This record gives sequence, C-alpha cells and structure tokens, in this order.
Amino acid sequence: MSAASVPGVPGYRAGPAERAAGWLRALAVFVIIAAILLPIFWIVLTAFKVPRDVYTLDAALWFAPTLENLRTVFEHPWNLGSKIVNSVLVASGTVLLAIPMATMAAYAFARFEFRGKQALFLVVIASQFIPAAVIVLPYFLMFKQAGMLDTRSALVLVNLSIVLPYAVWMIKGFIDAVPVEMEESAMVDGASRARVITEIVVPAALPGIITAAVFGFTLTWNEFLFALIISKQDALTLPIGLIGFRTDRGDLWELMAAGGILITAPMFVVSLLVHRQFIGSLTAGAVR
Amino acid sequence: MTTITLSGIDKSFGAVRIVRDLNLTVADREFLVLLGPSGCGKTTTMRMVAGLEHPTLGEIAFDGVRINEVPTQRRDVAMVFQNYGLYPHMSVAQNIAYPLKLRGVPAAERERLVARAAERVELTPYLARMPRELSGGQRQRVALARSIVRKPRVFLMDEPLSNLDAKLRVVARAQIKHLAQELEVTTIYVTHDQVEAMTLAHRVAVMRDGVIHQLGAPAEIYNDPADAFVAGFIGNPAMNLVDVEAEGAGVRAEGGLAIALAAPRPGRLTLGARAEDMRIVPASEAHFQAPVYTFELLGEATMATVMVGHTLVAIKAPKDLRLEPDTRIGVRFDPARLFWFDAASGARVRA
Ligand SMILES: Nc1ncnc2c1ncn2[C@@H]1O[C@H](COP(=O)(O)OP(=O)(O)O)[C@@H](O)[C@H]1O
Ligand SMILES: [Mg+2]
Repeated sequence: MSAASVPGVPGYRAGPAERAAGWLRALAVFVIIAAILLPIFWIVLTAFKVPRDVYTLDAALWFAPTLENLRTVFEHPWNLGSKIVNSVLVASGTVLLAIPMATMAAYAFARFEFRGKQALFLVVIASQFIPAAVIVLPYFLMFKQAGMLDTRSALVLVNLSIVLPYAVWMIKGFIDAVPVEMEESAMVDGASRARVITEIVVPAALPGIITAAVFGFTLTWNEFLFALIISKQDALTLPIGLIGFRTDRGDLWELMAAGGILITAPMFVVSLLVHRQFIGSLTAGAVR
Repeated sequence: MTTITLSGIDKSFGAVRIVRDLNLTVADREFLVLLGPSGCGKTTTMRMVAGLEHPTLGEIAFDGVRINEVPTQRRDVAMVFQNYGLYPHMSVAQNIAYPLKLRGVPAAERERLVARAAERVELTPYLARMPRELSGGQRQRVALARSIVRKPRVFLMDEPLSNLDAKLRVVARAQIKHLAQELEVTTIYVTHDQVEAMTLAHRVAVMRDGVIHQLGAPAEIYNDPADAFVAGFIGNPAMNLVDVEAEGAGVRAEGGLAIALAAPRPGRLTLGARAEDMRIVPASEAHFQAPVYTFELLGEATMATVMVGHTLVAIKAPKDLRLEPDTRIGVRFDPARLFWFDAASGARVRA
C-alpha cells in the first residue's frame, strides 16, 4: 500500500466517490439530529409564547417571550406543583427501593448456585415483555381491593415491577465482570459476605448500578399508562398532568409545552451529569 | 504460632477426584512449598486451607483444632493470589489497610502499619496510586504488603511470581525469602517452578494428580528422590531417565544399547542419573558408548547429549571441552549417584 492511499496521511486526496460518501454521511447525521432536536426546540419556543403566537407562522421564530405559561401551569386548575412532587416521590421511591433489591438479587444470580436458577432468571427477564395493557386491569383490581387506588405507594409498587427486571439484568452483567478472586481476597482479609458486597462488589459494579438507577428513574418518571389508570387526583404524576391540557375548549399547546419543559428538564440535567458515566458503562457492558 | 494439619483430605469436583487422601502437617513457622505440574491440585489444596474450598472428606486443623466449619474470614489467614486480587477502586494504601480496617484497627495505627508494610516491599512512593497505575511487579508487592500488614496465623501464596518476567522473578523470590525469615509465620507456598521450591522451602511436598509423591527438605528431594516422577521433576536439566532391561551382568536400553551397570534386580527398570553425575571418559572406562547428538555451550560448563535407546541423555562436561556431533564418546556414571526405579510403577528400587 502506498503512503498516498492512506487516509489521514499528509498529501492524501480523497477521490470524488469518497467525498460524496462523506457529504452523504454528514447529511444523514444532520437529518437524524434535526429529527430529534427540532420537536424539543419547538416545544421550548412554544412554552414562552402567548396563545395568539402559537397558531401564527409569523411568530414561529420571532415573538415576544412570556413567562406567563410557566406560572399558569402551577395555578388552579392545573396544579403541576403537586404533580411534580408526586413524580419526584414516586420516581425516587422506586429507585431507592429497586436498586438495593436488584443489587442483592443480581448478586445471588451472579454468584450463588441454587436449584432453578436459570429458569428463575428467565422468568425475571421475560416479565419485561408482558405488555402493560395486559396487566393494567389486574393491577387496578388488586389496588382497589387493597384500598390503594390513587396512592403514591401503589405507583411505586407498579413501577418496581417494571424497573426491577431491567435493574437485576443490568447489574448482574456488571457483577459477572467483577473477578471472584477480588471477593475471595476480601474474605481472606477478614470480610463477611455483607462487607464483601457493600465494600468490594458494589463499588466495583458502581457504573452498572448508577446506570440502572438512572434508567429506572427515567422509566418511572415517564411512566404513563399505569399512572393514568391507578391515580385519579391525589397521586397524579406529571405525564398525566399533561393530558389535562387537552380540554373541551381545545388543546392548550402553550401550557402543554411549559409542562413539557418541566418534565424534560430534570431528565436533561440528569443525563448531562451522568452522560460520560452512562456511555462508558454501556460500552463496557457491550464489549465484555 | 500455628501448626496446620491436613488429615485424609479428599476433594472432588463432581465426579473428578482432584485431591486424594492427602495427609500433611506443616510445622509452626515452617515454609512449606507445594510443588507439582499444573493441574495437580496445589491451588485446590491451598484454597481448602483458606476455607475458599471445602474438602469432600477429611479434616483440616490449626493447632489441633478442627477448622473445617470455620468460614474464611475467621480463619485469620493471609493469601497472595496468583492474579493478586487487588481492589481496583481502592488506592494502594487503602488496599494494604483493608485487613486492618476490617479488624477495627484505629486510623492512626493503621497508617503506621501500612507505612511499615509498604516500606518492607519498597512501595512507599506508590501509596497514593491506584492499582491500574502500577506495573505487574508493583501489584505483586501490593498483594504481598496487604498480607503482611497484620500478623496472620497462616500465610498462603499461590504462584505469586508466575506473572512476573524472569529477571523480576529472581529479585522478588529473594524478597519473599527475606520476608519469610523475618515474619516467622507458618507458610504454604504453591508453585510449579522447582527452582522456586528449592530456593524457598524448608520442606517441599511434590504433588502429582492430587497425591503427594514425596515430602522432604529440598536437598533430600534432590539427592534421594522417592520415585521416578520426583526424580524427573526436580533439577534443571531434569534427571536423565532411561528404560532398561536387566540382561546378563549389565542392562540393555530399549534400542539395544548395552550399559555395563549391574541391575539391583531382574526385569524392566528405569535408570536415573543427573547430568552432573555423569562424565565423558575414554572407551576403556565407559559404562556405555554413544554418538553425540548435540553439544551445547552453557558458559560455566558444556552439555553433551547422546541418544540412549529412544531417550536423550544429557551429560554435563567441563567448559573448555568441544565435541562435534556424531563423535562417539564414552560415558561413565557415578555409582553413588545412580538411581533405579521400577519401570512400570516408577517406585524406587534400592540396591
Ligand atoms: N471449581 C472447580 N470446578 C471444577 N474443577 C476444578 C475447580 N477448580 C479446580 N478444578 C480442577 O481441579 C484440577 C486441579 O486444579 P488446581 O488445584 O487449580 O491445580 P494447580 O493449582 O495444581 O494447577 C484441575 O484439573 C482443575 O481443572
Ligand atoms: Mg494453581
């Protein structure tokens, strides 16, 4: 191979076909980014418009911004404030319960031999694939029986059932990658099983555990169907709050957009904070 | 101050019997080396002493007290794993301090002990580093420091030098020997390298297929091997072992070569002699004659190899000797340093 045919080497010139391929790739990337970002961009703009501007193309990009919408959504009858509180409590409650439970289950699946282990793990994984629509009615009846309809505890329980299988599976992958020798080494050093798990295994599998926590929080934060059926008034979460803006008098797009910002912003911040961690751990899991 | 006793230990994984009726006592403050080829059950034996593996049969005792049911963390043993088993999320200092932390040693005292252990293995400049920032030799020393930071009842080392390059291995070996003399802790050291065994051990247990073939001081194992396996495993080069059949006043090797040595008994035997216990002599004094197969310069000596039957036999010779291949040479054994083994069982046949 001559030096001139090596890309990235000084003196190398791309042929017309290669240049066309380069342009096509850039275009594809642009289209994908635009498809993802444009709706978000539109929502953000809409949230700062007065109703009149929402429907005119003249004011599509150029308008007098207002904070009125962000204030209105916190007032009667929308009361997004209480819905944010519910969402935060349900999502953090779910994650705080799910992660320790999932870590322990994942440890057992990764390290212990017990009868029916393979089958049990398969069942846990398979439970993710049951369509929500199929089990929403049984849940409704169960919680009704238990007098738990329209409570945050009920939502936490439901979300646990969604988040746990994912979390167990994800964390198990990371625990599998922790060398057993490290644990044995700690035991020889004098650590009990409990200390081995908390001081050796958990720190070593931390990227996976954080990933599972972020993922679980996101799933719960955005969960719609169960919250819609199980909560009525006291336990309403943000996603349910948003459909309140579809009223008899029409859809209140500017308020919905303001609510949309409230729902997206925390996820945005979280993803910025853990971005590197997240990507790193995802690929770490991938190449193993 | 701990004597380790293994009595009638058997270990099977499923249907495979890895360790067979093993009986071994390691004396207080003794440095015992388990030596044997890869896969013979050395690590498994050591792991049973640590409590990481449980014997299928038999009893393990420290100072006469049965410990089979005592979990690893309460056996008060220290172990250097083959891959060191360092904690990647802890600094070198934290790694070394971990056993102390688990025992509730106060922070100030911990720091003092860590500093001392680190100094002993020349790790002081690296205390703040993370394990991934260290070379293989440095990691090995962290594992060593972690196990000597406290005074355990028993010290276990599983091929601690096997991941080091040859040059570093010699240095680290000397370091371990020095440490062991200082620490005076009962030690079991596992290796497949007979040089390590010979240089480090008070006593060596030579293992094969889960059975101890010989237990004794290094010199004893070298000079008085119990069977053909031990004879062939110990020494560099390995002892020459030639299958022969007693015939008339002498013996005859497989290919038909006659050797003028009186066999201790009739039948098929294996004749053993080390390279340094044979000499190249004029035909009139020779026990047998054979053409030179290869001739090598070793520096401090030379090595002539001849073909006896189907076996290559190495003979150490003076450093200024020069031989051409295919030259016929006469070879003489040192009768006092000659070993006979039963050809079938390998058992020693004493004259
Ligand atoms: N956990 C295990 N399960 C099944 N077989 C094992 C296990 N541990 C070791 N073995 C087998 O036992 C034999 C001896 O292993 P080991 O004690 O590690 O040998 P050594 O340390 O002498 O090389 C090997 O054949 C190995 O494959
Ligand atoms: Mg081994």
